[in-house]
Amino acid sequence: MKSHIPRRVLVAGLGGILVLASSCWADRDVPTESDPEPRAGEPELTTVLTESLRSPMRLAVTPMGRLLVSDPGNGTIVVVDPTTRAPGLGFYVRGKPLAVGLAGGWIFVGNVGKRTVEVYDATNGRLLRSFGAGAAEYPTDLAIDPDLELIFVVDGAAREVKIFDYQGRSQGRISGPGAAEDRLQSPTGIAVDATRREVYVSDYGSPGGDAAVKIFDYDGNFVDRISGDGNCGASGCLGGFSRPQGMDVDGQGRIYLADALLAQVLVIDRAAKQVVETLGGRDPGTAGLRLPLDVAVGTDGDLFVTSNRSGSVEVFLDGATPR
Amino acid sequence: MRWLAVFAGVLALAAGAPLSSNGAVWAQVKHNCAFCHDLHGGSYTALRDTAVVEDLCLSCHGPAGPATVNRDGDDVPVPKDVNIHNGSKHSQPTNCWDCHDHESQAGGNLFMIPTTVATPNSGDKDVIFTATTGANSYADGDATYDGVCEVCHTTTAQHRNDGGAGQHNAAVDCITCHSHDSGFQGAGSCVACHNQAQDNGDGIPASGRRAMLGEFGRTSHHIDTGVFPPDSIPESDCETCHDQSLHQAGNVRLKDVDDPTNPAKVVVLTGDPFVDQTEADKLAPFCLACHDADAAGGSAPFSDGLTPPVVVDLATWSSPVSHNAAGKASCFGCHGSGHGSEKPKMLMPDVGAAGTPDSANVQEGFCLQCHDSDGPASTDLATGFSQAINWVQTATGLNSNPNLNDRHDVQYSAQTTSGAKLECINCHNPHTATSSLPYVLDPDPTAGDNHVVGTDWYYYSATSDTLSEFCLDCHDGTFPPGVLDHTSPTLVNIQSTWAADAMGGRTASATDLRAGTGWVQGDVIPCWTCHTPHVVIDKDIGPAPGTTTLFHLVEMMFRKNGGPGDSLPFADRKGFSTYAYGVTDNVDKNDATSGGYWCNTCHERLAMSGKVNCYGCHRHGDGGRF
Repeated sequence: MKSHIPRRVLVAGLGGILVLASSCWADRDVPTESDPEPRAGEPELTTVLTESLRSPMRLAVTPMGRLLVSDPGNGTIVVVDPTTRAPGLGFYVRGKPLAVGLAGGWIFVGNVGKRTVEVYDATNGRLLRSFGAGAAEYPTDLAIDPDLELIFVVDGAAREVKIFDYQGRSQGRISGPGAAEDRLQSPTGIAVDATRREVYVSDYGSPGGDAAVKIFDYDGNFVDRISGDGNCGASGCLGGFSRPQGMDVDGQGRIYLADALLAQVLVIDRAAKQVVETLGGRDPGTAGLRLPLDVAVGTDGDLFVTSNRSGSVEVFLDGATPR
Repeated sequence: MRWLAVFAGVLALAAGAPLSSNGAVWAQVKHNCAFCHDLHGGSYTALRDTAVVEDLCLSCHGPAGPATVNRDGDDVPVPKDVNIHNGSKHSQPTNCWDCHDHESQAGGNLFMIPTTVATPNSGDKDVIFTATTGANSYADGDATYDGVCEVCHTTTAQHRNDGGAGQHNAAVDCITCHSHDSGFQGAGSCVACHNQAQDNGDGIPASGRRAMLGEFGRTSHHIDTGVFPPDSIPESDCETCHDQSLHQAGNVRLKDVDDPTNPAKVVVLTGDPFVDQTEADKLAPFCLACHDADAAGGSAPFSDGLTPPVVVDLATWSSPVSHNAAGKASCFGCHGSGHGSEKPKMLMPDVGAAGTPDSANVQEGFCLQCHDSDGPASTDLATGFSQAINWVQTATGLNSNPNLNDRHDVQYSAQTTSGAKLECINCHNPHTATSSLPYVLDPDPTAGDNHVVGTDWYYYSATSDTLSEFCLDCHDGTFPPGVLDHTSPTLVNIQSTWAADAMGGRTASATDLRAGTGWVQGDVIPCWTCHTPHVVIDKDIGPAPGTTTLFHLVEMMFRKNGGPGDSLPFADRKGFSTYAYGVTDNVDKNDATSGGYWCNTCHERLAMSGKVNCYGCHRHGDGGRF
C-alpha cells in the first residue's frame, strides 16, 4: 500500500458561485468548452441557487462529467460543473435530501424528511413522483444500474438495501444473512458494479469493531466482505477503516471509499480486498478532507469527494492511481 | 472487539430527537468506549484534537451517519444532524468537546456536560445541568448563572452569565427552539418560537421580530383555526408560504405556491412592507399565486382543506388599465399581515379591538387614502366625503325622507343615522376594476336577481348606458348581502317605477325642452345624466356645509348619449355658472334650492319661483309624472 496525494482543487460554494480555489487547476489540461451536444440524461437545470454549499453529502456524476451534490443542510440538489465554474444550478427539495442519483433523465433523491425516494425531472428540477412515504425510512445513499433500471437504496433505519425499479416498485431487498458479521448492521453508503452485478454496501458495523464493505449479488446473496480491520500489528492497524461512507467503482476492480473519520479516500483492490492507496487525510501537507462522505469517479478519471465539514467538493486529479 | 460499557453520560446531540419530551431517555443512553476510542490507527489523544473530535462525533451524528447502532445487542437510534455551536457572535469556533466531555462529567450532569466549562471570555465556570426543564436546567432563571446555556454568554440578548439582558423562557427546555441541528441558533417548531416577540440584538429586524402566533386568532386570518388552533398550526402550513432555506438569515422569504421549489420565484423581503412601498410591492406575485384564477392550482394549500378565494390574476392586476396602474397599489397596504387582522379580509390596520367601528379605516378608508386631493389616484373623492353630510330637511312625498342625504352611506356616521349600509366594494371591486370598467357587473348577485350589466335590462336602451342597469340592480327593492336599506322610511323601488316615471321624457311633454339637449319625448334618461354616485360639492359656494349633493353640477348635465366632456352648454343659470341641486329642502319656493334651476337646465319653464318646486309634482316612485 502506498500513500499518494495527487494535486487537488477545491470546489466550494461561495456566495452562489462555485469557486475553484486552487491555481493547480490551471495546470491541468482540461476542456475549455462544454460539449455542445447534450448527452442523454444530462440535467438541464437552469435555476441558480443562491446558497453556498452548506453540508454536501452524496455525489452522482452526470453523463457530461458534471456532479450532482445533495446538500441536506440547504435542502438542495446542486449541479457542480468543475470545468466552467458555472453558478450553482440546482433545485430545492422539501424535506432533507441525502441520497442522489441520476438516470434516464430523472434525478432520484433519497429524502429522509419524507422517508422515501423522490423522482425529479432533470430538465427543470420539478418533483415528478414519490416512491411513497415509508418506502425508505432513512434513505442515506443510493446507487443505480441503468442497464437493468434498478435503484438500490440504503435504508439505514431498516438496516437493509431496498431495490426498486424506476417507478418505485419493489424488486427485492438485501439485508445479508440473518446472523453473524455479514448481516447489515449500520449501513451507510452504496455502490454497484453493473458489470459484475455486485452491490457494495459500507457498514459501520457495531461502531469501533467491525466496519466493513459488504458485497452482495443482485439477488441479495452475500458474496464477500472487505474488513475495516486492515493489517494490525504492534503499532496499530494499517489500511483499515472505521467510518466507511460513500463509494464508487471504476470498472477496473478498484473501489473508492470515503472514510469520515480518517478523512481519507481509500482505494481498495476488489480482488485483494485490501487498501492499496489513500488520498487526502488530516495530516499537515495533505489535501484536507473534513468529514468526507462520498466519492465519485468522474468521466475522465478524476475523483470527486464531498468534504462535508468544509462545505466543499474536493477534486483529485487523474484519479487515485498513476496512469 | 467487545463493548466496554463505561460511562453513563450521554451525547444528546439531538436535533430532532425528542429531547424535551424524552430528554430523560436520551440522558440515560450510554456511549460505549469503543464507539470512539481505540479505532483503527486512531490514538486516544488524537481524539481530543478539534478536527478529530468533530469528525468523530459527526461521523455518527451528522446526516450521513448510521440511523441506528447496535449497543450491547440493542439497536438504538442515533440522534442526527447536529451542528456545531458557532453563532454569529462567536469570535472563535467551538467544538463538541467544549460542551460534551465525559471526563469532566460529574454531579449528575446530563449529556456528558462537564462540571466546569472553560468559557471564551469569563474563565472557568461551574455548570450544573441535571434537568432539561426547571431548576438546574439549561437556563433556569435563578440568580446563579450556572446553566449550560448561560455560562459562556456575555453578548447575547438573553441569559448572560452575569444576569444582564433578558431572561426569556427561563427554565424551559431551550433545545425546543435552539436545537442542535441549527447550531443552537433557534429553530424548533414555528409555533413554539414565534409565539412571542424576541430580539436577539442583531437589529434584524429593528427591535426584533414580533410575536406572530396570536395573529391567527384575529377576526380574519389564514388557516381555519377552528380546525387548527393557532398553537397547533402544522409546520407544513407555515412552510406553504415561508421558504425556510435561509431561516434566520435576516429576511422573510416567501414561496410561490404554484412553484414552491423554484428559488427564482421566492419573494425576499429586505425591508419592512409596513413602511416601505417597494417591499410591499414585492408581495403581489406571492399573494396572487394563491388567489388567482386557478386558486393555488385548485388544491388546498393548507391543511385545513380550504380552497383560496379567487381574487385576480397577476396579469390582470399588472395591467396598465388595472387598479394597480403604474404600480400605485399593492396587496399589502390595504391588506396587512398574512397571518390575521381584526378587520375583515385581513385588511389594514390589522390591530384594534374586534368589532369596533372604525369607518375611517374600514374599506372606504383604504379607497380615500389614495382617492384624495394629493393622489396617487387621479380622482379625488375624499374631499367630497369629508364634507358634513347634507341630510334632507324638508321635502315632499317619498322624498320627504330624513334618511336621504347627499351620498351613498358608506361612512359609519351616515350609517348610524339612516340605518343604511354599503361599502365601496359593493360597487367597485378593487382587484378587478379597470379604468374602462371601474364598477362591478353584478352588484346584486342575489339569487333571482342576478342580472349582469350589459344584458339589456330595465328598459335599457342607450348603448352606452350601463350605469343605469348598474344602479337599478340595487335600487329595485332588494339588496345584495351586506347592503342594508334605510330603517324607515325605506328607499323607493326606482326600478319598478322608472319606466312609468318616464324619467324626464318618456311620456312627458317635450314642449318646453330646450334645443340642443338631444333628448326627445319617449327617451328614458340614464341615471348618470342627473346623478353622480359620489359626493359633489357646489363649486360656487362650497365646500361648506350644505353644499354637497348627489346630483351633477349644472354644467355636468349630459346631453343624450353624452357624458363627461359633453355637458349641456346653457348659460342662463340665474347668476350661477355652476349650481348643484340640493335635495335638502325641496318644498322651498326658492328655485335656487328646490330644484327649479336644476330642472330648468333642460326645460324652459322659467316661472319656477311661482311654483312650490319641480319636485312637488315630478319625482321618482310615487306616481308623479316626471
